[in-house]
Amino acid sequence: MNPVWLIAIPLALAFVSAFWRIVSGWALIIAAFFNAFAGVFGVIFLTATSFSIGGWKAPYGINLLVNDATKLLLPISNILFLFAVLSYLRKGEETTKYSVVFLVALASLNGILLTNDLFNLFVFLEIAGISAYLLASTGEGSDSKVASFKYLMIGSVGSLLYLLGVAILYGAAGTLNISELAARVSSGQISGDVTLVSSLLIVAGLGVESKLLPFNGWVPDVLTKSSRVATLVLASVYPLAMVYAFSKVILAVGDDRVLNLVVLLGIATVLVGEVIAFGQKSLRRTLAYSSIAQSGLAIFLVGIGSVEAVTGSIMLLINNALSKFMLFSIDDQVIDEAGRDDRDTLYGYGRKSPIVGVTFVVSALSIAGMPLFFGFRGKLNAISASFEASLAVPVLILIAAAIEVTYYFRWIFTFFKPVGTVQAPEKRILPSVEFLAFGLVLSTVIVFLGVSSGEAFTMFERAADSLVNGVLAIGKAILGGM
Amino acid sequence: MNILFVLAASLFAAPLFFLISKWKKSVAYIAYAAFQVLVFLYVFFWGGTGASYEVVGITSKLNFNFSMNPVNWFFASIVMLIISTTAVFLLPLKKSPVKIFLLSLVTAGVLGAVFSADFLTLMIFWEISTWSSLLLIIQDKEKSTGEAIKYAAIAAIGSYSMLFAIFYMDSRLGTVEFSSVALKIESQPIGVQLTIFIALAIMVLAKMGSFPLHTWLRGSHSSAPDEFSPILSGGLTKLGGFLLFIMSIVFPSFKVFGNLPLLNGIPIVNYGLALLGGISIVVGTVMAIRMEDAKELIAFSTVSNSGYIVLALSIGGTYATAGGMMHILNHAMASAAMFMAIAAVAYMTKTTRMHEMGGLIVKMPFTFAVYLVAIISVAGIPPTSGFVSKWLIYQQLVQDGLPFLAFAAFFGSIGSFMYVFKPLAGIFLGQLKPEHEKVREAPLIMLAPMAFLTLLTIFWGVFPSNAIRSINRITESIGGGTVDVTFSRIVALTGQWDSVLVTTVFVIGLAISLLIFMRAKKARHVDLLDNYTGGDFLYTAELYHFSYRMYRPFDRLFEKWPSMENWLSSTSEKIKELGALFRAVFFNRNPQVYIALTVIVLVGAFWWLR
Amino acid sequence: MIQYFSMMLVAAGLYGLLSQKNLVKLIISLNIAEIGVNLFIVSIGYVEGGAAPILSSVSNNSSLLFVDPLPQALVLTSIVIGVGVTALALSLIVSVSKSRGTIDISELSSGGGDRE
Repeated sequence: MNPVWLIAIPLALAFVSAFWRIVSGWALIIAAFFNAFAGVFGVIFLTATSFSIGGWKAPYGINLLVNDATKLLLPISNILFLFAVLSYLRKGEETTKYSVVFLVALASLNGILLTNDLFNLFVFLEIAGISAYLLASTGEGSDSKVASFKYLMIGSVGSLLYLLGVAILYGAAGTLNISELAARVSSGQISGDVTLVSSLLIVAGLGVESKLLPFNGWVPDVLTKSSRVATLVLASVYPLAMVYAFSKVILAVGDDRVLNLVVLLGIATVLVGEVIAFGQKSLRRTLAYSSIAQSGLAIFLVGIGSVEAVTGSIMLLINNALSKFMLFSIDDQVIDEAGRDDRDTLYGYGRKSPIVGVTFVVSALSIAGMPLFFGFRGKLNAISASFEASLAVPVLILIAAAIEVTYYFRWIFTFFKPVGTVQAPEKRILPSVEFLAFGLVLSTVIVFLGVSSGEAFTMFERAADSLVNGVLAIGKAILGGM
Repeated sequence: MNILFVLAASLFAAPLFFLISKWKKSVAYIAYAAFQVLVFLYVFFWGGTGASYEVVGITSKLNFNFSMNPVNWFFASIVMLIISTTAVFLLPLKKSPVKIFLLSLVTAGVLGAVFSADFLTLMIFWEISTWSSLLLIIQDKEKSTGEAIKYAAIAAIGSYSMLFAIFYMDSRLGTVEFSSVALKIESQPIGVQLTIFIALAIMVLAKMGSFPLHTWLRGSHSSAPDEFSPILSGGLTKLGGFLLFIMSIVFPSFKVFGNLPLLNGIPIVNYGLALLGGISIVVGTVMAIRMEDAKELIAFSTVSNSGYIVLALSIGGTYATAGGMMHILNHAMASAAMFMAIAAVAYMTKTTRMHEMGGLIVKMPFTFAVYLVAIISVAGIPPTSGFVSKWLIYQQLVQDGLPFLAFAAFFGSIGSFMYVFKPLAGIFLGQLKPEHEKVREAPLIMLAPMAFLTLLTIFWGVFPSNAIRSINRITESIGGGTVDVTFSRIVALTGQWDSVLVTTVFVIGLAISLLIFMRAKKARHVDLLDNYTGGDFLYTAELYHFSYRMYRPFDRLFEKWPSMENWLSSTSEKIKELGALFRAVFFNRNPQVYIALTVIVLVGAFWWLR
Repeated sequence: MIQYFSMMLVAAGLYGLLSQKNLVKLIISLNIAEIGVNLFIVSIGYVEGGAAPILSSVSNNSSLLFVDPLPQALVLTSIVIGVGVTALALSLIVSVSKSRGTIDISELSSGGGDRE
């Protein structure tokens, strides 16, 4: 199956539902299901790797690249998107109201994951960005519109800078194909100044969406103010695609000095994110800053650039997507029930609603990196790889990790605080059926990946290897053939 | 002995017990207790002979390495003893599926940790038992969440410090197995050795509850569910002893740091660690004397005894090492017995505040006997085993000429007389409160494990050679010296101790005094309130409970001492303030601020990088 | 030469973005910056002495010297995207002004909200 269908179907259905309001809700469901199935079955069994668009062979034309990394991330992104859409299907008219936006977002996210051309990436980034601005504005009240506007501002600045970087690079290299650029950059054909400036600009541009400091000022407002499904998509599926795009491009065309800068910025992101998250009183804000920190962790590993580091990065990305999906869903449940999500409201919530409590523990401990959960495996790689740079790096990462563990445990304790004397709670709060289903599936996956043995993990290493070495190899082949 | 099978069984037992207890709680708890007892017997009677090695591949780089040599056997026996006796003990207490699940996870983690052969395996299993114990602590009492967060924070500090050490070792030495690291670490530069040692030491101090990372013990031990405190104090903290033994004795740490300046013949790094242990002894003792709640008091006693273990294993030398190892055994038994006795009393009277009780010796004589023997052991009085370990440590201290540490150790012993007596007097002696008239002795199922621990304490007090021979086997296996011991006599540096002789004298003395007591006139029973003062009769019993504020003059003496208790909360306040600062800078509500930041960072980076 | 000019446009746009208070003016500044970038991209494709990249029967330039057409395609796309974003931004401004009553960024950034 040509993966371009993953992009084309949602886009086509988006056009249809823009003009034909009645079917818009159905269009969204159809597209989400199609993408989820195609993402799993169509992609995993693909053997060919490069699909050209429009008949122009790469590198003259745009091509879609399917390597081990995309084979891993495409299914996960599409399935999570499907879960997100299904989660609030019964309640939310927002999914029908905004179905066009969701469809376009789905198409663009798949495009970001698949494309192998820098400008095509720009186009998809912009489309995803516009959808993100719209998704961010879906919350109630005017706060979300203001947050969306601020996001738009910095997002546009970011894409400006990215475009400038791409243009400079094109001017020097003559091609926009990522693999070919990788080969050219590594062979030293392009002057150091050019790579430096273009890499810096590209880091800035992609960093805005990837939540890298100091480009991530938009994150707290957007993640806290937007509506339910939008937050789920923005917090779990978007980071997967965006950070993957960041890794893909930077590992291919990044200047070595800029990679060091990326390490620095990544560590700063982690530290700042964790420290701020420590002091937050609302669960949603804590999760928003924690997302920033997790992205920072994934990105700093990309900056280090070894296969081990990028393996850790991919594992952390996936763990973040799964866990944050559940955590934000839990937060939604709580706000549904109680209207607020500060610590006082949450006291003993886990005892009144044990399923919510258990899923909270599983996802929180996974992000905190406790053994028996998936997040621990990623963290191990992260710490092990961080020793490759200077010694200060692991110390800072570990300090941030200690802070993170502490505040996550604080939230877990809040959930399970024995309120008054420990008696059976008067009223059991039942979560929605969708939450039960998805929570069960995702928790099982997290624990399963946490305790499974080595064979399952080679897929992460292969994904990392394809990012670090595979792209370059393809580029060299192209260059050699020309 | 097949450790992998036992470990796998333990891990799978956790969800299994959870499911069983959903159906019928008592069945699950009995199954859990039976399982733990079986594991204990299996481990103990294996005897630590033969050293085999099992490797379980996890990823291409990560392996679980387990070994089964005498060191593992020693620590495994101790923790399994505590866990199995507690498992039987807690059968009458309130049950819940969550608790049995978490308890099983804790024991699985502990089991994996004591049989580990490399630091990463140790770390992973230790972490499993840490997070499950954190969740277990908050199950019962409302104030437990505030206390448990301190444990979480300090445990995080320790764990990440150890993770740092592990990966530093991996990047420098290429291995994290105990024996390989011991070999390779000698050839590393001093900076590397010091970093690894100190990072591991932080973990030891944090997990054993030793100064300066001791502030979590008081709250966690006291607010944990009563059935969990013995395991927490007698089992989990001893894992720190395991790590300390590895890093201090198995590593040739005295040889490795031998090039550093020596203080009284001990390298300065080890001496520093021993010093922290000494301070821990003093702090723990002083604070214990000032406590009003029995469990908090025992928690500080744990701080103090962890100090002894740290001290003993840090100063090195045959006798201190043997004493330290034996103290791990003794303190595990004694503190578990103490917590169990308090739990039994609490089960019967529903309180642990000492001045609310009294006179329970007549109602719960067996519990009293258990508690008495346990505190005698903690205080280090013969014929209990606690004496032997302390005596060995003193031998080494005096022989090595370490005045300050010896002072701390002696102070701890003398001070411990004071604090162990307080619960004894407060709970068991004195006058029985009217509301406790109906209290009966604890059920047999609780008494049996307590009695077992008591008997072991006395047994190893009268025949310490039994335990010391095992310890000799261990120290021999890693190339250390052995303690000269015959059937009843221990020959040490400044003298010898014949336990059988002393016990015989003790028994004879006891017999004589018993005779005198029985021949004398019987005491007359008087009610507490059958008294008058100042011409007026008494009405409020608790004001005449002499255990309330028992050591008030002592308390006043140490009132002005600086307290470490608040440094955690002030650190967390500082982090929150820092967070607010970061927020104002990086996440300012005005987007122009962060757009400006973007431009500045870009321009700055360009200037810096070209 | 033109590239310096386009960079100046970008700088002007960024400066406007940082200094203006009115939301509409912010969008205008953003547009100016985008124009600068687009200009820069087109200028990259310039080839000395090249003709317009159109093959036609009228073309008397038998040599193959054409200006690079790829950047021109990029710019077309980019202009369209810019239009889309501007439209979205303006509609957001309308929505904000209706609900908040102000389109001053500093007012929008201060009061209100639930900052702890």
